[in-house]
Amino acid sequence: MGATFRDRLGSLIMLAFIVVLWVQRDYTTPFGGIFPDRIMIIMAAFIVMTLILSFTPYRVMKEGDEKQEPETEGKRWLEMTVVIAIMLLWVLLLRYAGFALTGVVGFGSIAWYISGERKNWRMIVKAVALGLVITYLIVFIFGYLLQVPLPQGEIFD
Amino acid sequence: MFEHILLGLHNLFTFQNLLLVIAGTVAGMIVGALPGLTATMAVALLVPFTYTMSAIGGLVTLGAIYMGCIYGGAFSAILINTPGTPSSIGTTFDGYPMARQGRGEEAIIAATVGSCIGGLFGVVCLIFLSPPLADIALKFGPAEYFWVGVFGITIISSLSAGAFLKGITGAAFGILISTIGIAPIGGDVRFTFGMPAMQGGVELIVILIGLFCIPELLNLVTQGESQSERVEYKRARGVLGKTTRHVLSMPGNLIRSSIIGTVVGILPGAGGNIANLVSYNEAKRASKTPEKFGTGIIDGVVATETANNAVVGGGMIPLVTLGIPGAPPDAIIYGVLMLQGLRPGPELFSERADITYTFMLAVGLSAIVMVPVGIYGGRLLSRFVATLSTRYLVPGIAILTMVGSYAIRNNFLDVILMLVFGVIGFGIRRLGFTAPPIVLGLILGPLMETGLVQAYLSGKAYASPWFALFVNPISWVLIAMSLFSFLWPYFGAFRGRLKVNGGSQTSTQ
Repeated sequence: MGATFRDRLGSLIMLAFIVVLWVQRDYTTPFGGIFPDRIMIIMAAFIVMTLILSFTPYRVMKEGDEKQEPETEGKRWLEMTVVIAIMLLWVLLLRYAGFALTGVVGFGSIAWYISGERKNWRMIVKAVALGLVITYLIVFIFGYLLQVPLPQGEIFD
Repeated sequence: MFEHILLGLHNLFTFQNLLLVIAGTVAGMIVGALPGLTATMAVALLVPFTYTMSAIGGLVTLGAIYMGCIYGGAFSAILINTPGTPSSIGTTFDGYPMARQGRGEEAIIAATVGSCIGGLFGVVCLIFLSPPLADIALKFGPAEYFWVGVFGITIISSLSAGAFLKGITGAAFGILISTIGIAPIGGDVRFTFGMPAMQGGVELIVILIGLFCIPELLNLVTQGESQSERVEYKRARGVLGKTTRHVLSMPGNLIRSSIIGTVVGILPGAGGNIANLVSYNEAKRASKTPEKFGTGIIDGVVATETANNAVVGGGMIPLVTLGIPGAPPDAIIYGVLMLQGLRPGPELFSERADITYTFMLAVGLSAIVMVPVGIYGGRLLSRFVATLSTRYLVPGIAILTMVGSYAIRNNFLDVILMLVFGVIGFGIRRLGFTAPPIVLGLILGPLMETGLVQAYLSGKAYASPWFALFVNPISWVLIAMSLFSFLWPYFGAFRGRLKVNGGSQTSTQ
């Protein structure tokens, strides 16, 4: 991804964010909008400036000046997307299945999925076993020792 | 002040708090030594352990975790040439060559002594500079608080990895996120997307966990297992005393690096990652043998490790006095202060002085605790870290982020928001935006809004209510500082161009 493309895409996403907030404006007092409205206008001005500069030879900073994340291979993107999907499912099931169950399954699934070429039965057993140990260790530390509430799961209530 | 220090010492030297300092330092060192995990992430991941602790217990633990984490980064920098945290990047330049030459223990001891001295220097500055600064903050009205926020935003934007416009856009993004929920003045319900659960706004810690932990987790997935070559080191008789004397025989390097670390720490958003590199460069410039830097010279290790640990105390100075986090991990500590009902500012040094001084002294104590733990437990720690595989580290981080975001308010929406902000954080990093300006925007947003609206209301007597923002001389000082930090990157770029032009003209002559 080129630096100019990053500037343009980033600017458009930020602009879309402002539009989403702007259409939601529904203030009931004269004070609610004093601050956010001005911030939205200033932010839009900076975004437009970034966009304009991206079309000129005077880009905000030269290529390589800003901190750049390493490029990711296609296979790694897929792995990352699957990990996000597992976490999303984990979060959505948390309310219903509780922390203990989703923790074991979530931990085991991610550990097994990112284990590279070694996706065999032994690996599944190892991942789930470690998930079991870690999850119940966390339940013990947080739930019993520190008294931090963890979701029990509606289906177990 | 001295009675508060004595009270702090009295509170700190209880069995429970001493245990928390040792446990926090060791936990911080372990996470800090894991390559790819930042100090901010370590503090964010370990925050849920403090939720049910008392204010003193929670803060003591977090301060120790932070200090331990910055030091822990040196182990992987020296032994596997991969900085455990970005604060130890400079340590790899000389630390790893030293380890390759069979001087690994010497490098570890130098890093330990330097970290301890830097850490203590930062804490001494924190203890003695914060109360007078907090007294100045007493003179601040709403307009001044607004300008303090503006100054924080402009300075972090000018420091944001060379992309000023993106830095300031990121900060504005953070400010807008902070306006979600009920307005501080007037009580308007804003930007909730029709969800009643959003009326309370977004919980700061939840967003911080998302922004700092999830992108690192995804980076670990994209990078896969690292194939670093680990250098073993053996303990030898006499090295400890000899190296300690050697480190102490370079007071110039120690003092310079400590000052650099503390000053960089005070600058909003700039942390150990900047301090260690600046300090390394300055040590090299001041050295009589600069050509030896990078070949395995002890001065390089001392400079970087002293500076990055001095950042810890330095970064807390604007945090406890004005509520502006000096370094990114301070943002998490700010969130915990708010959770415990402690508002940064002058009252931290008056009504809540017992908690504040215990916390500051605990950070200093953790710098001392690092020495025996690092020297005698360092080998064990580096072996443990080397055996941890990414495939277990990633789900381990995931499970802690879930606990951390849920347990604050027992709210499932917080866990979803954490994940959403995590993915947003990962995406915008790829687009060249960095997390620190967003976080500072999130923290300074409410301060700026309250200041602006209150100043506006108090300015009704003037021809224009906005004049209230400019009537106090302190406001003008803050405006001048904001303008300076706003224009600094452009001035730097202009000077650079002049230099290049001058150089090319000379070469053509």
